[in-house]
Amino acid sequence: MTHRPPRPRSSRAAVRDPQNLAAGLVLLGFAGLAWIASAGLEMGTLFVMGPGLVPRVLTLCLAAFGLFLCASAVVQDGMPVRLADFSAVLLIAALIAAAAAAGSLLPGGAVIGLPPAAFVFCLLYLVVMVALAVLCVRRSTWLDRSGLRGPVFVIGGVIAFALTVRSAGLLVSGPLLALISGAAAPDTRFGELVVFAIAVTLLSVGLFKYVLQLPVPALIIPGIVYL
Amino acid sequence: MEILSNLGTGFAAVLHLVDVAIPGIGVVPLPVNIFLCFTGCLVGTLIGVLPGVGPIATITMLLPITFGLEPTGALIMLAGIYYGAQYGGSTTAILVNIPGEATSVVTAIDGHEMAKQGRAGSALGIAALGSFFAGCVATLVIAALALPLTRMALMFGPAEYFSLMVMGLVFAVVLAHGALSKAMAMIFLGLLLSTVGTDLETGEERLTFGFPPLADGIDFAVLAMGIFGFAEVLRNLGIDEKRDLVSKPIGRLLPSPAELRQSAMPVVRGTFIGALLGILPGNGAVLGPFASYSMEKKLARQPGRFGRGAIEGVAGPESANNAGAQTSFIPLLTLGVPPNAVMALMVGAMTIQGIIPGPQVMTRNPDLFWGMITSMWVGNLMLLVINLPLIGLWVRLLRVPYRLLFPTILVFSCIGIYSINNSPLDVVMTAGFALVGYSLIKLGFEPAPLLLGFVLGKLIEDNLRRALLMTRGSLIGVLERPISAALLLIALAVLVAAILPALRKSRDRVFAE
Repeated sequence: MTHRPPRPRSSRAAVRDPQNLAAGLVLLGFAGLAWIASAGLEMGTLFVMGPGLVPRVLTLCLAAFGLFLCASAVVQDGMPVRLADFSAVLLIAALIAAAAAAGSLLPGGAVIGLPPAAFVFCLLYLVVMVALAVLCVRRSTWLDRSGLRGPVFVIGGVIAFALTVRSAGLLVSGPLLALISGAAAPDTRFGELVVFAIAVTLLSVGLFKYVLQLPVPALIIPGIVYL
Repeated sequence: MEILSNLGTGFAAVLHLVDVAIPGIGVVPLPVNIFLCFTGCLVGTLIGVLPGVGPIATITMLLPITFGLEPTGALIMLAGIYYGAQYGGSTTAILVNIPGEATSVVTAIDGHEMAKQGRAGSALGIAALGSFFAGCVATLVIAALALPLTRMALMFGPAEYFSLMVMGLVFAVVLAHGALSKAMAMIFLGLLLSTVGTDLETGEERLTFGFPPLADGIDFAVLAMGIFGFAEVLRNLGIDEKRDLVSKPIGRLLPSPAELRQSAMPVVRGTFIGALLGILPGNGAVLGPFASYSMEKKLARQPGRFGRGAIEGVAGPESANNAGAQTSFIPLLTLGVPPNAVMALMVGAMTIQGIIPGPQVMTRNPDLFWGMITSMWVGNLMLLVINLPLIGLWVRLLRVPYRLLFPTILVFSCIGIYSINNSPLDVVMTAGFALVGYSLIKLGFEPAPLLLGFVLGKLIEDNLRRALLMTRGSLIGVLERPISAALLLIALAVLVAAILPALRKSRDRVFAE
């Protein structure tokens, strides 16, 4: 839990606080999204408020803070922005955009229970994870610097859990989550992780399914087993 | 005397005997609620001890285990989980110097220093004793204030509620770390997120992008777990882990008579400050430990000892922490307004049990109301009983490396999120919010105000609409009501004070310490 000390940048650069600039742009992005989404909503009057009034006012406030932060980035010194902190988010956003585009091209109808765009996204994500896993095995130093490893595997594990928990049950989705997300740690050890994944899963099945009796399926093999 | 009879109702609810059929023995009357309180404290501490898991993530994770219980038992257990998580966080702060959340940051300073000197036992012991004392006082404070405040709440109309919540948000901004402008932006983002979903009055979908699962709005547990649970895991993975687990022996758990004498007054002062700040809407409880620490430092004969293992630096803030944690139930129980994210989770839990928080709870469910208040005291007693003997177990748990801990945290969190609505999509949305939260942290935003804005958003909009309906659309009308005007004036004064440069500096100094 070490805090990076703020490194003052040279005050002659045009953008003296890159972090605030990025923060401001992100806020403007959120405001833009909300503006588009609330476009069709009735504003109403103060007496009888329409559904669109409050979102619109909040959007404008958010945009104002975005502009304020952008402006302040030119005036005062601040923290730098490291690409590695955002690489994973940008990569996943790119995958979502690509999947959405591909999904709109594909004919409608669900593919193995998923909308086409979601299916394409999972496929692309799987490819990315396999590529990163290969890099992991080769102990690539680029991977450690890129900042991709942690978020990509953690989010990947969570998605795998969500995909399997209902169709295959906890006994499949638990180890899957633990194994995939476990790869996120730079000092991960495979053998240890396997043992641990199984132990954690058995413990959680016992606790949630049998002690607390939550309606979570433990194991489903279609037509054969339903626990 | 009314207090005593009310507390009596509470104890009766907590000690209530339920006939339980035990196979092989037969039907035995058991105090089930005590058992639930104990279990809550135990699992709460167990999860709360994990480094980087604060009370919000702990409660979200453990929320599903209370679903099958009857309301009083469920809330008693949740309160136990909350105190357990708080105390677990302090244990981690003292032993490994990783504070699970803002309030235990201060404990880590001197507590960890004491641990390095081989006095971890004393630090943990005084934290537990101080918290217990604070808990006793805070329980009495709540019991005493509950009646008058509930009566006051009945005078509140929509305009007053609106102004109260605006004041809460202003406090949250002022109390947040970092730049004011960024904290305010997070409040607005949270408010905006709260408008996602179906508009209650017109039935129109807002900001859903035509995505059907968003029609019911964003689930608070999903947002909280994403931003506070998963994002924290992502953040910890990015840090080269240097877990500073003390290798020195824990030492004796009971503080020596000299240490007890040194801590007595700090505990009393901390309790007082914490209880007072905890009542404020807008997460005042966060400020308690900071205020107590700087106060003890000012009052000390040798301020130089602070930061080098002064026991007052643990005793005061820990008492303030616990007192604040407890009195922050007051706005929720009397007004129905959650003052922070943890209380918002309590609202969620109460709603699931079919109870709408607000002034009517006390009259309609007196057993539940007073039972919960009394269980706070019982919970504090449990913590004293559980934690001190189990300290060895927590230490062993802290030896588990993070590469194994975080997959465990993720598995339990995912099961927890999934079980709230039995929805795999909720799990995916949590992952999405984790990425958003992680990016926001990296951009220098603090996520706590966002969560509070989200929590209060719907209530604020609803009350504003109703207030404006009553004043025929005139904003001045909202100001004409005296209580409402006073609350807004306080909010304005606090905001102006925070922006003024002189006070801003002293605020920065409080947080820097």
